[in-house]
Amino acid sequence: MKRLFVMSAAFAVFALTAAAQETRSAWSGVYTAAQAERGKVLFTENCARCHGDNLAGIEMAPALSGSSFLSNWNGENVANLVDRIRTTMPADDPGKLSRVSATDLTAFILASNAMPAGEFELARDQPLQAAIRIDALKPN
Amino acid sequence: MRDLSRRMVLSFPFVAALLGRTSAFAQGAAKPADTEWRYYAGTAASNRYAPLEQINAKNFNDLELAWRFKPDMLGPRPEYVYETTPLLIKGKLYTTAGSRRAVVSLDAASGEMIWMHSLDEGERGRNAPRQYSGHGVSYWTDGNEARILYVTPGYQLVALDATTGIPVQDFGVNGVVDLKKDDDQEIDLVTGEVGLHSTPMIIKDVAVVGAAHLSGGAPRTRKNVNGYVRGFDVRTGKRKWIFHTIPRKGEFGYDSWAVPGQAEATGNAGVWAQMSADPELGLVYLPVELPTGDYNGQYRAGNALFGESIVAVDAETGQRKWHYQLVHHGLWDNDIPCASILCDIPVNGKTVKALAQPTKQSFLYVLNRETGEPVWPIRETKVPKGNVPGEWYAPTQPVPSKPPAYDRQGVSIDDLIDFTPALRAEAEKLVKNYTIGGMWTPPTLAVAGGNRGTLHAPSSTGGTNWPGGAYDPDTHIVYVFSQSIVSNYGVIKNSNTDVSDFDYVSGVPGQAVQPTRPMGAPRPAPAARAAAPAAGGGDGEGGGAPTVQGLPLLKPPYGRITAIDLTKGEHAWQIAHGETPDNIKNHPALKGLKIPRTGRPGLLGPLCTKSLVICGEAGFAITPTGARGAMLRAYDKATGEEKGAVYMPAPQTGSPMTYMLGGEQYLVVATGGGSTSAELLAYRLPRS
Repeated sequence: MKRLFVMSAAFAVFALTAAAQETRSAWSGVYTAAQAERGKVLFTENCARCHGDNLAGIEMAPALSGSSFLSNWNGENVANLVDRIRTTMPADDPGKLSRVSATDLTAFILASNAMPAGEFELARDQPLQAAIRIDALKPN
Repeated sequence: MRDLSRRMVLSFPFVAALLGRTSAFAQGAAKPADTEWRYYAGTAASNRYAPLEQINAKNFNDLELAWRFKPDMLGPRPEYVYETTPLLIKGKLYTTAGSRRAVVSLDAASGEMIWMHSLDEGERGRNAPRQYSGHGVSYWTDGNEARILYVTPGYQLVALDATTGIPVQDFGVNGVVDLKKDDDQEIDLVTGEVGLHSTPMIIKDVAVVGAAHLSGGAPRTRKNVNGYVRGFDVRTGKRKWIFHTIPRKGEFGYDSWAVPGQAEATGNAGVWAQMSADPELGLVYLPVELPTGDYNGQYRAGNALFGESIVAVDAETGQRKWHYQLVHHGLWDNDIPCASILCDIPVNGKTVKALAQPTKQSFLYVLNRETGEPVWPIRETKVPKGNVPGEWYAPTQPVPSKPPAYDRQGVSIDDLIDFTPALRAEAEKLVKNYTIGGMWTPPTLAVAGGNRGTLHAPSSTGGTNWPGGAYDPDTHIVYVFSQSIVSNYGVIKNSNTDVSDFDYVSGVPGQAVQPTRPMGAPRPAPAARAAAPAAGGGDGEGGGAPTVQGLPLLKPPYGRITAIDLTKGEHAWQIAHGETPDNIKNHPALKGLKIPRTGRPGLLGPLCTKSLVICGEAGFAITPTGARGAMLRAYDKATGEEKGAVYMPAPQTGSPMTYMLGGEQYLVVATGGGSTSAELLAYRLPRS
């Protein structure tokens, strides 16, 4: 009985992991244009003074668009980007941004990297975001 | 004597067998002595050199992690940009760590934390123009007492007992000197826009401290805080001297300010980079940045000393001995981003006490460090003027005749991406929207529907940036990493004096000017706030440099290491450093093309050992095993040939250092980025 329980628990973990690995690309329209617009306003308020008004970055703050950003986040998932923003930014007041705000900001960053908007908003739930893969290049 | 050596030879295999170890030192004659690393770049000469060879070309690939140090919990949140190079003294490492810039002492063999010091500066710390852990700490000893010194984000100089980490009570006030006081100017203790992320330079019993500010594309005010440099008595914390990096009336250099009153009404000109010092000559070498306005010099007409100058000052008095201005009236934010490399080099049969200065503009300036005279002629060369109303343009710029530039300078059609004719054609079309030209082409007015600005290489972050270079004192070769990327310098008329009191600022036509203000300072009123920037989209309309189908505008290499032979003033070799980025390697437009390693852009510092040049990669990639991360690479220092590479979970963010401890050589490097928080990695060879 006990062994059976252990086995089924292991199976459940496997199944969950497998589900989590079924990912889609951030190039597949994972946010809406309106959401990116909200993110744009948040960006100006909170981020532009360090990351630059063109997201190009300075010595202390990395670029949030272009080749080096895409390389750095290639293969990562959207949840990790949202969490990086939510827990460490803005540098003078981290924790200020809600998960919803950090999600909207992420939508703006994806838009700034030429990833297209779609029909549905980027949901704020961590497991859903974890299933969205950041690809440096648009998959064929 | 002969007996003794024979006994050693005889007994050695026995000892090795007894220990049952085959570590590299067992193959040598005797257990190597422990070594030290007492300054950020190894020594006060900033050579970043260690004559060790246990880790060498034959075994580099065998390196494995000895320990890891994760500073996540040393501040209120994890940090991702860990720029430190730790110090190593008597078997203990000393470094800053974590988002609040704590200081730690670690057991250098195990990574175990021995003590930790942290100062919560509250609002003052949150306002700091330079946040996070910074470049590290400094060390002082008189042979009896030993101290660790560092500057907090909120600009306080702290002295700690090296053994206990407890603030030294007879230094300043309870171990702390408030750097916002006694600076020949009034600075608000909480909001004043000045800090420092570099380490103080210790020369004899003096701690020399510089100053850093926010970047200045659209400065809030031309009268920002001044970045003066001061020398403090390392025993008491008492100020010994101050050097005004913008001269006051009656001081040398005041006359280089063309318009009366501007020298008094301009700030910045900090020394935010690392410094070097020569205890024998008693000189400290200060790399000074620009007075206020990184790309706009309307309020600092003239050559305006000591902007973008190396200034040699007496370490005891702060008196200027000589200076050399690398860029007259700079408009490109060249700063001088790193320490001068002090080197004694043979020139025409004589040894010259020289310094070699790597720069963002990719010239290595070589000067006599006793006199400031160029070792090879540096010629004043006529340069073009720009079109920004009210701007002052220097008619000439100093151009070194030797050594040649080590990275791309300026943007011409020939510099553009050329993997395929179609990509080149697209790039040519894109740059028609911009001003391009040689490296001295100034920023230009950006106009809606017209010129978008000046495309400039090297970018505002180099070339070479704050990590600086390395130098081999045996062969007189400098090793320097540089990147080839483009910045767009567009200037627009500013109509919002709440955001900036500059008439012209960096910006994008049609978009409101973005305010620069200290973090945590009161936000501007809604009317003063700028409209949101446009999403870039890649063609550069949003103000950034354009890309071609997501590919860099310039042709590779995007990152390189150059070996520069100072016996001749020539390049010995040059290689692309860093594997080709994934988004280039797999780009559909490049399918079927065989592209040699492109290197990767970044801010990196190399380390030089007895036989190798060692440098980690910038940026993440899928490494050869399939793991996401970056490689720490080793090159034959004589040829540049790659001899090995080991995996790091995240890119190099702080330059590597090395030491011998208990007969084993360690290699320590700071890493982090993306979603991988900062970490110190220590490598050594396997013990069996």
